Amino acid sequence: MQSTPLVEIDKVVKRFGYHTAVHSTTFDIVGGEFLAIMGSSGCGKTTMLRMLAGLEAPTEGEIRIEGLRSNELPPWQRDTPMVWQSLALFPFLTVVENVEFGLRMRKVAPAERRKRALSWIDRMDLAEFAGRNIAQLSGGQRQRVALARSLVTEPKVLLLDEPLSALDTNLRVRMQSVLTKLQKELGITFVYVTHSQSEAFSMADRVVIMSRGRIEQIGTPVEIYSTPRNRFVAEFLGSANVFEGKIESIQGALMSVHSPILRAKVPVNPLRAFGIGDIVSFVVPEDRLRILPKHDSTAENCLPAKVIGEEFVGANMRLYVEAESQQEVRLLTSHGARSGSVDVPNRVALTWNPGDAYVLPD
Amino acid sequence: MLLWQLVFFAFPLLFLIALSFWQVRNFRLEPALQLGNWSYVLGSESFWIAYGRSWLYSASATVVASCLAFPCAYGIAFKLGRNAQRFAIFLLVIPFFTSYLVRVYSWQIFLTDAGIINALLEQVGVGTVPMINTFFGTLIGYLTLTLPLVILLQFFSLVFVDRSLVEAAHNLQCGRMRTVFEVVIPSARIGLVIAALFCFILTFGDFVSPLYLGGGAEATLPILITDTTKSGQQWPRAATIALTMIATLLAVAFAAIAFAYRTRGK
Amino acid sequence: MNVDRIISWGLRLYILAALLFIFAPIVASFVFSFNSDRFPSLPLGHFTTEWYEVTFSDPLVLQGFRNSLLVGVIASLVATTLGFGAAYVDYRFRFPGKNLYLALALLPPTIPVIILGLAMLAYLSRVSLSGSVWSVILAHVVMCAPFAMAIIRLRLSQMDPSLEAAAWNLGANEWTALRTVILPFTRPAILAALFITMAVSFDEFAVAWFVAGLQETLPVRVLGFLQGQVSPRINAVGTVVFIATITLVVAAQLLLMRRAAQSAPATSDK
Repeated sequence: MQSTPLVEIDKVVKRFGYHTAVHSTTFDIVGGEFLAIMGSSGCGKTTMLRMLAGLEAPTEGEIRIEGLRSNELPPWQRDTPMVWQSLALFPFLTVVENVEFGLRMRKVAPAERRKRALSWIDRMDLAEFAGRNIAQLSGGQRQRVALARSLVTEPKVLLLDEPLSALDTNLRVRMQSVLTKLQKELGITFVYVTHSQSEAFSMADRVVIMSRGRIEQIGTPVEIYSTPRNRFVAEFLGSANVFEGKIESIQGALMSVHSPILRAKVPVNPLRAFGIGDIVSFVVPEDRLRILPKHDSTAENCLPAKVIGEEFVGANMRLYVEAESQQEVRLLTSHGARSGSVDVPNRVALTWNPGDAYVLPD
Repeated sequence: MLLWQLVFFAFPLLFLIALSFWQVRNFRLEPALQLGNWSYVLGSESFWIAYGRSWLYSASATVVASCLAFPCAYGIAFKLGRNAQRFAIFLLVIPFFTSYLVRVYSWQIFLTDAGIINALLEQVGVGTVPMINTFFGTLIGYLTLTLPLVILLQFFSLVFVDRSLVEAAHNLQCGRMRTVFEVVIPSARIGLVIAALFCFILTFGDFVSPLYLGGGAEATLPILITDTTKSGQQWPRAATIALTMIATLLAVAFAAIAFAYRTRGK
Repeated sequence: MNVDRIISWGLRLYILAALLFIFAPIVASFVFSFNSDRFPSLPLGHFTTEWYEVTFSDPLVLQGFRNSLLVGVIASLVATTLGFGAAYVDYRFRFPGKNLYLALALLPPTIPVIILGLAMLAYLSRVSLSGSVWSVILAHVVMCAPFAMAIIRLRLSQMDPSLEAAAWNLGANEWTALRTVILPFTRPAILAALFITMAVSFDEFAVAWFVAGLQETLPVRVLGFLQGQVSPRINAVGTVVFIATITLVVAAQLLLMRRAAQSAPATSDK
């Protein structure tokens, strides 16, 4: 990977009339990486991608591609091919004509561009369809044509706008590995927009999580999963339980956090120094919670709760319990843990080791 | 409705075919089966001149109208907001239903040697430009007839063009103008061809513009028909002319539709 | 992106120019119908209504006007009824030969009027129906019904198909359902069809010229004027005709637009 950033997004803001789609955002994209931008609809991820492609211009701030300011650069003067959610294949052209379109715009000679287009079509296992009309291809085949069309010009950056969302699950999983392999082989940068957490986390080197126009966190999938920065990210990841309390005291590496229903000791987070009296949120991952048959109100890290549901998850079982104030908490435990040791009406206590909790920095 | 259309629409047209074989004797129409009308008409030099002229006029009108209409239709489809679009369509539909005849007459106000345009040109010092009784006049008349329809038909096909195709083309280094020719027009091909076809059909069958704005000295087929019918009372001959018109238009229509709907690649 | 804005404004100006071209003769007719000069040109003379007075005291013009109204009203009523029937049949039924039926129903506007005129003339005089107001009415119905059918058919396609079935389900027979469910729903389209067919008939001159004989409609009278010399009387007649048809068309459009907005609220806010 190169050390100088390929794309720099510098305090970029995008407004549509009175609506701010992207608040001041700054981050870099490094050459050769697979970057995923993830979030639910309306979070600004597609707007961000479109600004990179030149289909929208930033209202404020600057986008630099290879060090050059690109705000005013129209799309046709950029080298940022995009794979569209709807694929946007030209229905009035054949497969090979679609693929060589970009080369034709760059005035590559007919023989040369046909050769390059056909070699990419071959690489995508579509050789026999080269002369066909795209309407005759299946969804997965059209996907590959769209990929070939964007990659035939050998760009440095490929933009992808939820390209797999229209495919069925099997195909989607297969295409995910096709894409990851391709990116590693070619060594070019992929900027991949998706609303699916599993897609982003399984394919990307780094993930940008966006919500309502702001970046919530950037990091590798492992980083984000193990150390979410704030409540939004933690809850977005789905399998985390967030508790709140006020810091009563700090003893070295541990803090005492109190709330009306809970007394807990949580580890200090080196990323942020809180003071006594601050309200903090902390997370206990679902596979770190244990069930006790009875609540001990004198113990720390112990919370009364009521079991309200359970779910098979492969070899484990997920329990849904309701703590005080109707907060739903999830536990992942092995099958044996629950049977027999719980009394009616399913009142239990949750507990965990202090070291397993994690304080959210924001 | 079927009955009505059959009786009053299909039958008269079919009757035309029969009529073309009849004859006129002593100013009276007699049923017959003779080819006299056909041989007269098809052998007549003035017929073929008028036929060729009709073709020339209609073809040029079609090209001119399509080209002039396109920027307008494109602008309405791509550059106007929803409400402005609706308003533009609203306005365009109106002249479609107003009297073509009176509009053609009104153009005389503008186009005659003593008319408005020439008065303005005098002021500017350009002098008088003869516009009426020329092909230019006929063309203006044709445009008055067809432009609203062509703009509307082109608009309806342009507005359904998939915008992401346009963005994809831009994304692949296709500049603005080039995208219009490479992507927008091929995507809207069917509607554009149909608009042109209607333009051709309308102008091919129109006698008002060539007569009142073009001077009428150079006859097109429709003028020939009105002359033959009204002054000559030679209905069978008029019928043969009409039938050649229909045959021509059918051939053009089939060719146009085949062209519009062909797909690339098997 | 400055070039983009220049292009946008350029195109908008072009649209304006096109609209000006299209409406110029209408406006000119209006303006010069009040102009005192015999030969319309610039600069304008003084304002006068003499042309209107002269024209509308001409018995032939009034006759033509009356005929046009008569033909228009009757033709639009018949055409709309037939159009409604055809639209409903198309909406409701499938049968072999439907395509041929639709072709017959919708073809007339594509045939050049001059050919229609000739065909009608020959045919109707053969069956002794030519040369009267009724022949014009017959011909106009043929030409206007397709418009009525298209308008009503469009409206029917906006209707929830289960409405009619619901009526049957609740005990209404086909005619009652037609009366109580379909008719109210299509009412704006029926009115619009009446207006549009009336407008089409009012302006139609070619076929009327061929077929009417001595019972001329107004446009045919205008045609007669045209063959004379330049006369501002045509402007007067023309302006009246324009105002009449424009009013009809605007009314029809408003009817269709308002109802369309009401029945599809979900799609209009995005």
